[in-house]
Amino acid sequence: MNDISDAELIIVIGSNTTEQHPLASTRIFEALEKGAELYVVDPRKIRLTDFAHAYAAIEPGTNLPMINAMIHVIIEEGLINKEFIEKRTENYEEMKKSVADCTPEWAESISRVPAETIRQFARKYATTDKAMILFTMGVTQQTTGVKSIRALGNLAMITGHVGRPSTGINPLRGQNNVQGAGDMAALPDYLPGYQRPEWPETKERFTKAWGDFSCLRGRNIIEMFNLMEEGTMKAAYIVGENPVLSDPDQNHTIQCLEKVPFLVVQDIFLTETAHYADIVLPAASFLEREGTYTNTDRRVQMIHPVISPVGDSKPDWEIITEIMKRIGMNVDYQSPSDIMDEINSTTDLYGGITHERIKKVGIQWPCPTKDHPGTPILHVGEFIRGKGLFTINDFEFLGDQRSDEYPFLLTTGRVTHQYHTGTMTRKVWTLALEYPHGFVEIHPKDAEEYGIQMHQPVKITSARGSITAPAMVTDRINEKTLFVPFHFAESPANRLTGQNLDPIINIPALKVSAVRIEVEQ
Amino acid sequence: MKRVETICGYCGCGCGIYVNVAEDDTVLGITPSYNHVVSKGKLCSKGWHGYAFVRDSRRLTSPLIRNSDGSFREADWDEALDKVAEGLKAATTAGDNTDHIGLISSARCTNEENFLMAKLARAGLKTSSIDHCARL
Repeated sequence: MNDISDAELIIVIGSNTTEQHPLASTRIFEALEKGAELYVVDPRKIRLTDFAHAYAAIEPGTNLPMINAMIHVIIEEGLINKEFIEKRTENYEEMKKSVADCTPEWAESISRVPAETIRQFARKYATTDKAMILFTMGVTQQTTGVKSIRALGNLAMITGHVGRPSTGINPLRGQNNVQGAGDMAALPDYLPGYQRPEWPETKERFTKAWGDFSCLRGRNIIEMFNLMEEGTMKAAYIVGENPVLSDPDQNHTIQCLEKVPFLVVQDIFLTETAHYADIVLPAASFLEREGTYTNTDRRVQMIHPVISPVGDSKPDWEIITEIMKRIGMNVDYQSPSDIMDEINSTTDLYGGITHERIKKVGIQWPCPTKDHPGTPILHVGEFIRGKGLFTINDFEFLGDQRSDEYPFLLTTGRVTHQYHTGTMTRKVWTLALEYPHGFVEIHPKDAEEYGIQMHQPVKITSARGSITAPAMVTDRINEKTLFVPFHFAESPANRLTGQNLDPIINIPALKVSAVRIEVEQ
Repeated sequence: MKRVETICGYCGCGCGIYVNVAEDDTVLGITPSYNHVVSKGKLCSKGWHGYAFVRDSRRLTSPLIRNSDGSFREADWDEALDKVAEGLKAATTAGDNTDHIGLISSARCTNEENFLMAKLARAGLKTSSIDHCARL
């Protein structure tokens, strides 16, 4: 993250950094003070745009055409890094062909970003030595999310902005340990450390450590809910998640939870999801347990117990260990550091990261051995796969679009004083005071057309359902576009969002839903 | 008063905090960690204030089991855990359970806990269906 402050150009795409990652945004401001330029791509004039040197008010769901057009411009104007492409990448010619028609004018017709702005972004990015891209869910949560990230990869590789300090494409992770949950394989298609279950050496390694295990490509969260609805899924165990508020299409989520025959929910509060459980297990909070979190920098850091668990609650690791024993597994973990020992021996990325070593300062993975210092920058000299592969990412319209019935596009997100489904932050009065309830942002022109006043309750309807929230009339949002934060149970944005999935990894297009708005009668 | 160094539990920045605690376990407040490699003495509003939910009266303090009339009753750990194991085992088949049992783990949990969830799913319940909210 320190890299951010040394960058000369920072392009922020689909990341409301000052609100979601306040500390990461302080690094952006440090860079600005040193003379860096800031370019922002977002459907809302987020706070960062007040400090930006260029701003692209993009249509929700159309990052891909803009990125492909930037690549087109860089190739056409001869701004590519030939040496980098020759030495470290492959498939360049194919990729070049695929963006031949992606002119800025074509991208403007889809994304509404002026062609000249796209050229400006492309030229500046290609001609700046230390240029880095920051992104979050504003890129991923769309039907073309994966393609967009691969296209960003193309963009970084044609210009050689990879594997050096203050370059690269950098996702900022939304939750404290979303990096670690992936690293530890809370994923249907990996074992810990991104080892594939179908690799023979991985299978052998884990069979030795765990005994026989299921090594299929499992069902992801969206598929699991669909299997619950079909009646195939007989039991579900949900730990520290609140899908009723955080998953798309709330009515569908609730039907699935009602249908699954056996549901266990483990959390610190009786969440909206826990209401559908057969058994609820009380967990300890982050101040009441020990273990490690991995931050967005891949830095593995220790958390320490501050107070004892409230009431009869227990740390999650103790509860899971008890369940393991009771279904007949032979385990005996006395502390989180016992578990870390097993992680060290099965997961090379974490091979040398012990609790003892990170007591004071965290270590960044990959860290294969106990004397390895950790790895601040990935892909130095060589990509993990060897040569960087250029990919072909053609844009197509998938999922919701504006129509006569639903003339607006809804995008969702967060506000700085709240966190995710508000389970914790809405119970902190100092934070709750800042944003006591949800709202919907609407452009003044649209508000006038529909006769909507500031703070007036309005009803928003999609093909999935409707919600009511007070209007926030502001020119910080694009015309014919709405924004609703998803923290608030009484105006749940995810009742409106749908199951339009990225076809490659099934990320739902939470950032793009077609809706209509009307004054609440 | 004691002061415990730990990591903020909100976003992925991973800022360093000191939590100030009274003798009776009351959380008094947060102090930023000036030498922390990420936050360098700064914190956002959630970092400063976000701990108060810990002592909220609505915290779950005991396992709950659903009654036949739909309400919840408090239960002790042994009973609740036995029922969980029973329910999970009832959903297993002789073969692979990838389509029968689903586990959703959490970006709020530690690495150690996520590792255990992966192991419980694949090695214990013989299901590859485990995921968390990174998609969402």
